[in-house]
Amino acid sequence: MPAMESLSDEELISQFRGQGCRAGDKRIDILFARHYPRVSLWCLRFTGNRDTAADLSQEIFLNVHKHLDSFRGDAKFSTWLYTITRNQCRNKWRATQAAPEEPMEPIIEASAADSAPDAYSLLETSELAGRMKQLMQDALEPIEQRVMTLHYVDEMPLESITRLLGLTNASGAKAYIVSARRKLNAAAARSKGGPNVHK
Amino acid sequence: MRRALEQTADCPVLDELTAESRSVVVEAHLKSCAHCQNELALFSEFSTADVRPQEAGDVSWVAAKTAERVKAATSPAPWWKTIFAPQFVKQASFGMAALLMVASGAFYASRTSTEPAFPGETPTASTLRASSIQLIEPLEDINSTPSSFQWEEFTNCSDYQVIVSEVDRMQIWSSRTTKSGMPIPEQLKKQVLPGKTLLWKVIAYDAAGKQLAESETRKFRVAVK
Repeated sequence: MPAMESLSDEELISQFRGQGCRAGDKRIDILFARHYPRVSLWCLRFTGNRDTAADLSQEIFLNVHKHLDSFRGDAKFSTWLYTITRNQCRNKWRATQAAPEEPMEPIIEASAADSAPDAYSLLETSELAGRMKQLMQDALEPIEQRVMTLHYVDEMPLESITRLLGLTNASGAKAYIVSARRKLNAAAARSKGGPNVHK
Repeated sequence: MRRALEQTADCPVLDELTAESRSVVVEAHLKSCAHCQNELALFSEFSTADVRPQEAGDVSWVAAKTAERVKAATSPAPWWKTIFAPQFVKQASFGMAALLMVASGAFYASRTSTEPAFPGETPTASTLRASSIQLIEPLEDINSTPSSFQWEEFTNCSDYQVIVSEVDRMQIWSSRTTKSGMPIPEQLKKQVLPGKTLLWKVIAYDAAGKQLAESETRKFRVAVK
């Protein structure tokens, strides 16, 4: 029988479940020890504060532990852990937003282009979502797409995105959002023949 | 905007995207889908990101703290905590006499105890807490929704953890602070309903994360008007 340390994540979970998911099983200690650093790093970059990161990281692993018996054997533990981590971070951010005593920056940063209807906002309808997707694919750099995804889908604050992606420019993720919106505006206007986009 | 960035029905699951050998269909989809390209890049960021030199100390600290807390929370309860569990009592040979002893003990405790217990507390916890952190407010019946939790400062501690639970001992909120008070966030205020009793307590930790002291568990309730 191979040493526990040499087993894959999925094998450790399989054995843990085979043993009846007993509390204190060493397999789970080994499994979690492999992943504490990466989740800690993600939480630290997300929160920017080590105390809050430790709370968040703890919540993530306790959540994982609680649901280990529902882990699908054909899935990879790392992707499952990643999905839980992202969801938990999003929930944490939403909960923080609901507390006015600890005000944080708004999710959507205003830009000069926000004051009037623009091309991309006119495109923001369900039937044109596919077209928007194509525009993003064509017009945006990969890093801009990642920033947009984290901000608009994960609802992640801009400071967190800056830390997570290691952006070193002066205004961090905000600059990428502004730049992406400008590019999308221009691309949308070009594809619709200029002023006709506003009709 | 969000709709264009979200997953569609055509998008493969993350396991398919991260597979060592992707199928032709998945590969073709990946080339044309910004969402999946982003997901793959972000997962890579999560799983292979290098710790920057200025982060190393904090990452180690968070990982150590997480390991310590998760271990404590997932370890089996000591024998003396399980001895009164219903299953154990059923199988034990104490019989009716032991059962009566437990029942009378529980009755005595319920008559003499002034505080409810959180899950996982030791039977001797109230004795240990008697001279520890003193809670100031909110306590017992109050007229309006409290704005903060307040307690007396405990010397030599690094930070405090505030835990709030329902009367059925289900924890509903927890947070940490370095001060001897904490504003009650809006999401918790929503659960402080008139006539509803909630329990709270405070735990003090030193800089290494070791528990130094614990308050008694006190209840509070906003009066029904």
